[in-house]
Amino acid sequence: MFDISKSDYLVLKQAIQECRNFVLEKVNETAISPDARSARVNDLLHDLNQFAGEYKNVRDANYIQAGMLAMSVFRAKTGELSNVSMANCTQNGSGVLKETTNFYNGLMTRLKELFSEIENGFSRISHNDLRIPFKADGWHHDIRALNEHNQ
Amino acid sequence: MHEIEMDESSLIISETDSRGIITFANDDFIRYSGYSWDELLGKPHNILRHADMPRVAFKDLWDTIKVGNTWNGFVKNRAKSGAFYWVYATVSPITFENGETRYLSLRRKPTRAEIKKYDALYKTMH
Repeated sequence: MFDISKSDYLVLKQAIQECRNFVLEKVNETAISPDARSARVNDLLHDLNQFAGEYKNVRDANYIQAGMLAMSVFRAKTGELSNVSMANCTQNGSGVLKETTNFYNGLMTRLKELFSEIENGFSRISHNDLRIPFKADGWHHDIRALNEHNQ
Repeated sequence: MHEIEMDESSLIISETDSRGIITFANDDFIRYSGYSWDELLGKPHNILRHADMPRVAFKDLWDTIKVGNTWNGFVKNRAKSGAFYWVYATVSPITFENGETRYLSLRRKPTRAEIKKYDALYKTMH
């Protein structure tokens, strides 16, 4: 087949299978050695090993990005609102995670603004400082809108 | 002591500061380690270190992440009960808006073949 010996064919087939298992995350690591007899097959094995290494960088970046996102959501549950770094999206990470992180950061920024407005409103109430009326579209309007969406 | 095997769907997440002090651990971390959140917060991450793990593995980890790179490796952890559990770890530095660097660690289930391979390898490294 393709002018290669049976042993080299089996080495190549095994390497492709290892790559498949790695991409499908059936294994956590893979190392493909160019130990075929044919120089051309070894060249293919070298490429496969390189592609697996490049895929590993993508996989790591996605895991780290997803981990940061998960960690931030866990923290938000306890009231610690923080944005997530996009550093792992920019080089190797997936576009889906980039968009998700963008939306998440936008939500966190808006929530922080909202809580800041609420804090400011309560501060004014507690200091009997209501000389300037609350804006009709202020934080109480946002909370009402949130409640309406939840009903 | 017996082995605790990770579920396929489990993902252990933790974060440490630059000295390896735990600043975050998710529910799966608590579940497999057997420690409560109060017991983990502020403790060094090596609270999980198993005596079978060679020191050189952790040196390699710190040497890698201290220069800003991501480290991958197989780690045998010790739970509070004394039981052990193997993980495949991905550890990476993360930088916050204020410039502070912390380390994020994600751990997934290794295969039996991987555990067998690294169990044997680590025994030769002591």
